[in-house]
Amino acid sequence: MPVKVRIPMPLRRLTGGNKIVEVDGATLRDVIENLERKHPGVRERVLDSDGQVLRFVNIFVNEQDIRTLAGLQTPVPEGAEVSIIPALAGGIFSEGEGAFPPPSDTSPSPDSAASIMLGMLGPGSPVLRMNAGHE
Amino acid sequence: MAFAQKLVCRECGTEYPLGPHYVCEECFGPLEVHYDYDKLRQTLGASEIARRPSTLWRYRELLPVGDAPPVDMGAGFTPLVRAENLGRRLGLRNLYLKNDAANPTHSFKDRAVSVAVTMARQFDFEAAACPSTGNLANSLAAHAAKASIPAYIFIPRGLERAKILSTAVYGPTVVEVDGTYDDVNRLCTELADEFRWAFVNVNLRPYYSEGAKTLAFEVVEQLGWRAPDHVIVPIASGNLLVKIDKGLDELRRVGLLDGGPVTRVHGAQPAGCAPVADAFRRGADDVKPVRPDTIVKSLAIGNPADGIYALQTVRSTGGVVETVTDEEVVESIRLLAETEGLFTETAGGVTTGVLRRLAEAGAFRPDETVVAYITGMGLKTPEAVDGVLKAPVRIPATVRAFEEKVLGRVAVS
Repeated sequence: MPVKVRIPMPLRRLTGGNKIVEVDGATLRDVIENLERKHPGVRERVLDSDGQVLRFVNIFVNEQDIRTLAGLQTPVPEGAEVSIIPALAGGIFSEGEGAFPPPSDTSPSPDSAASIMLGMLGPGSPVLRMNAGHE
Repeated sequence: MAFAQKLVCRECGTEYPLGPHYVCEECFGPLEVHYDYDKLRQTLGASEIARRPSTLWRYRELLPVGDAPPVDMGAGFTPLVRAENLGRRLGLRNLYLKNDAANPTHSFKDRAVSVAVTMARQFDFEAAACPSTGNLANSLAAHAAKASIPAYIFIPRGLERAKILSTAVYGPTVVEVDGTYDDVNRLCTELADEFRWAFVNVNLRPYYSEGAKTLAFEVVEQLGWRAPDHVIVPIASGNLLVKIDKGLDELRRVGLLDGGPVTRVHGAQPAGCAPVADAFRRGADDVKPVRPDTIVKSLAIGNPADGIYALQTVRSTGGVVETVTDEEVVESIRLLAETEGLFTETAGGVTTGVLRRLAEAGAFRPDETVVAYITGMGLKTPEAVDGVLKAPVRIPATVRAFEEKVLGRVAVS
C-alpha cells in the first residue's frame, strides 16, 4: 500500500533531492522504517534513540498532527499523504499572534472611519481563500 | 565589516554558514547566530553608538545582516519611560516601562521584521511572507511595502474584518486559509520549502529572532549603560525573553556593560495559556503543551517553540514565571493607562499584571531598577476593555445641565 511522504528541505539531501517519496507501510512506524531502508539516515533525524519522535519534528498524516491521532501507531491508509515538518513557531495547540475568536460585537460601528475603509476593501478585496492542504 | 560568523544548532552544536538555513539538518533543532565578540570588543564603543540614528540599526554590528542595506522604517529606540505614578502605587522608586507600542506598526515585531526583511532582500528571496493574524502581519506588510517586495500574509479563516484591514491597507496579498492557526503554520512551513519566499518567522527565523535583542541593548543604553536589576517580559513563543537575555550577555561580552549583578529575567503568561509558568512551578524541565483559553491571543501559543529555553533563562538568572487571570489583564490595562497614560494591548496587560503581582509579593527591593516590556498598543485589542469603562455622561448643551449632571450639584442661578 504505497503512501506519499513529503520530505522537508533539511532531509532532501538524503533523498537525492526528491520532495515526495513513495513507500509502503500500514502504520506510520512502518512508513518510517521503509523510508529508512530506501534512504538511510532519515530515521535518526526523525526519531530519537528510544524510537520516539524528536522534539523539533512534527508529523502529519493527511494534514492531521499525529499527536492528535495515535502517534507512530497511526494507521496510514493507501494513498495517504505523510508530511514531516520542522517544529518552529509554536505547535499543536497554538493560535498564534493576535488572533481573536470570530467576531461577535466587535465590528466597528457603521459610521466609523474604519468601516469606511472596510467598505473600500469591498467584495473584491485582495483576500484569497484556500484550503490548508498542499495538493 | 561583518561580525556575525555562523549559525550553530542549539541542540547538537552543528555549524552552518550564514545562509538561508533555518533548522539543523541533523536534528531539526533551532539555529542561533554567533558573532566574533573579541573583534567587536575592539571595535564597538558607546560614544560611537551614541552618534548614530535613533533606530535599532544603531546596533547593527550585533545584528546578523553583514553589510546589507537595512530596510529601515524607524523601528526601535522607543521611549524608556520612568513610571513614577505606577511606581508609587507598587512601592518602586526606579520603575521603567519600555514602550514598544511606539514602533512604526505599534508593536515590538517591527524589530524582528526589519532585520528579516533586510535579509530577505540580501538572500534574494522573491517575496516576503508569514503566517500571522496580528502584530506580525501588520509589521511584515508594512516593511515589505517599504522594501518594495511582494508580501503574502497567511491568516486563519474567520478573522474580523478590522484585523484584515489593518494588514491589507499596505497592499499585500492576504491568503485566508480554511483552518486554524496551526493549519496555517503547517502550510507555511511546507510552502517555505517549495518557493523562494522568505517566510520570516519560518525559514528566516534565525535572523528574524535576533531583532528582539535590541530591546536589551536599548534599555541598557537608555539607563546610561547600566543593566536593570529586573526585567519583566511576556512569553508567547519564549523567543523574546531568551533574546533579551542574550542581548544583555552580548553587551558584557563586547565590553559595553561591566560585570555587575546579573539581571533577573521574569516571564509573564496569561493563566489561560501558561505552559512555561506551569513547568516553572512544577520544577520540571519539560514544557507540556496546553490548549489556550484566554483573551490574550497574542500570547496564546500552547506549545511554545522556545519554551524550554525561556524556562532555562528564567531559572539561570534567578527570575520567576508568573501568571495573571484575564480579569487581572483587563484591570492592569486600565491601571497602566490611568497611572502612566499608556494604553497597551492585552499582552501588555499581562506584563503589567505580573509586575504588580511580583511587587506585591516583595520580589523587588524599593530602590532596585525594574523594567517592564510593554510590547504593543491598546488599539490593537480594544475589545479587551469594551464594556468595563465608565460610559460618557450625556447632557444637553447647556451650562445648567453640565453643572447638574456632571458636577453633580444644582445650578446656582
